[in-house]
Amino acid sequence: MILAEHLSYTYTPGGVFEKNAVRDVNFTIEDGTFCGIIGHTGSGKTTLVQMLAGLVRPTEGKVLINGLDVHDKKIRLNELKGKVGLVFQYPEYQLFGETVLEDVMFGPLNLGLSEADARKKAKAALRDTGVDASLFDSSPFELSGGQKRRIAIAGVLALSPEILILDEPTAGLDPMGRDEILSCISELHKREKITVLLISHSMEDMAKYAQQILVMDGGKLCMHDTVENVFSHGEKLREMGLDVPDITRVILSLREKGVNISPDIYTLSAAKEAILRIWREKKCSEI
Amino acid sequence: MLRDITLGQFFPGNSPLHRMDPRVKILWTLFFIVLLFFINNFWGFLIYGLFMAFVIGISDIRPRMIFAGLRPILYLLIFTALLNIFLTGGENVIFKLWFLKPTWEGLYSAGIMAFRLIFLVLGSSMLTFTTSPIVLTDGIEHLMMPFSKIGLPAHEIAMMMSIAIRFIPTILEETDKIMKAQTARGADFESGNILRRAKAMVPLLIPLFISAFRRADELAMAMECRCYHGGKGRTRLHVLHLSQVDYYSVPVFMLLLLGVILTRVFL
Repeated sequence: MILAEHLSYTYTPGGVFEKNAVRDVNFTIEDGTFCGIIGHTGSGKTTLVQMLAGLVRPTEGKVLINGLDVHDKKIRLNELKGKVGLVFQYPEYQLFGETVLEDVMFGPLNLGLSEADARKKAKAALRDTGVDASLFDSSPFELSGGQKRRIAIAGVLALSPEILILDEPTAGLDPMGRDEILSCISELHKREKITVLLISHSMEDMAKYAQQILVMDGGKLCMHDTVENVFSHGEKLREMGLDVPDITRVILSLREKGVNISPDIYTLSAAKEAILRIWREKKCSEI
Repeated sequence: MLRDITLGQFFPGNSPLHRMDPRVKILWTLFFIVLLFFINNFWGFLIYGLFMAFVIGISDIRPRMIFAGLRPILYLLIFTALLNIFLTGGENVIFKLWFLKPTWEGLYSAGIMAFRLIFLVLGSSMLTFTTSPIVLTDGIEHLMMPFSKIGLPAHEIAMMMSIAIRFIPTILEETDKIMKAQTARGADFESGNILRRAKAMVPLLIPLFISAFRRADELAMAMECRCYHGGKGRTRLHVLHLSQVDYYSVPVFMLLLLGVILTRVFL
């Protein structure tokens, strides 16, 4: 369970460039939840997740993971070591290993695993992210952007974190690469029952994968609710520079035209079913 | 953690010092530093102190910020002062301890040295505090122009400097980010002996070097796309010209010169 209590973060307190990145954020996320985080650029999402991972010390408030304080150095280096995995934006810029395998093994080796165990973990993580075994011994710098991204994500997965946080893992990827990466994370979430926090600007991805959504605006937590409830506040989301999924917009304009269709439709497959049902009913009544 | 460096920082403002022409400011700073080495007694430093107080007073910069810039040289100051006290030969020994023989002459020259260092840093940091890096390199380029006659690539040097300065915050940010990312993968930069720490730097330095080269490549490409071809025939957006402040600065510095000469001759 992740518990955030009165989390605040201020850049250069007292200075000329003082800026409140995160203001008094409170929430609880149960184990095994797939939670999305949305918000406009500069709304404090990145700072928030870095605090959750214990990398940035909050100016005020605290983060408890399973009741343990993340910002206690002793706890972070012992009980919580490797428990929270954070994939940064553009993680491929952090690759450094001579070979793909060596780079992914960096994490598990830091956790104190033996060479053989680390290799096993690394191979499993690479397989999970869809990296072909033939690439294991090549240099990560020779590969394509999408492959580098997978390797970097595998580098975090190899730690076997209980909580996996991803900061826009699909930014700059083509649609296919995006779907592949997200579905492998979704699969991992279902198989290993890990908690996943995903920052994304794509409402479609949120609708497809997330169970809950945290909405950040101007450093504050505006909403924390199920996907259905969050997307039912379309007006409010638009005020924050966000939106509902494209398909929901289609459904809403259908409703405006007088079609009797449920407004809580966020995915393409649900929309397809609903529209087909209405179509069939209409045909039946015509006959 | 890396953002606490104040030496060489620029604080935007609109004081007379900010409005001064960078060329004039650089020349006066050089003048200030050279004159500093002609001072041979504490009365000279008193005059320098008064002058410095005046400059800080009109600069609109909080004194706390200026003195924070002195912190990095604290150890250098203590070290040179100690060397001076113990290694300067002289008649008047303060006390004797084994082979250590601090002398009053040493103490005197240590004091002179310390004041020189302090004023050196204060004077030059006033230049960088009140001049934006871009304007500063502009000024340097102008001052180097005469040497381009003898083959000095003045424009290229200035361009290289401004690019380097421009990338300091970017690289710092990048370092911070990579450090955090590797920490998230269980890397430890803070404990262990020197050898272990040096080894721990590898996962930080390799990505940093690669991204520096990548950025350089991209920047070079972007500059070429905008038809950059060096300094020849290039006109400027902001043309430097002297203003009132620059003329007023002449008597002020002449007074400083006069003061220092007087202390040398009479005291």
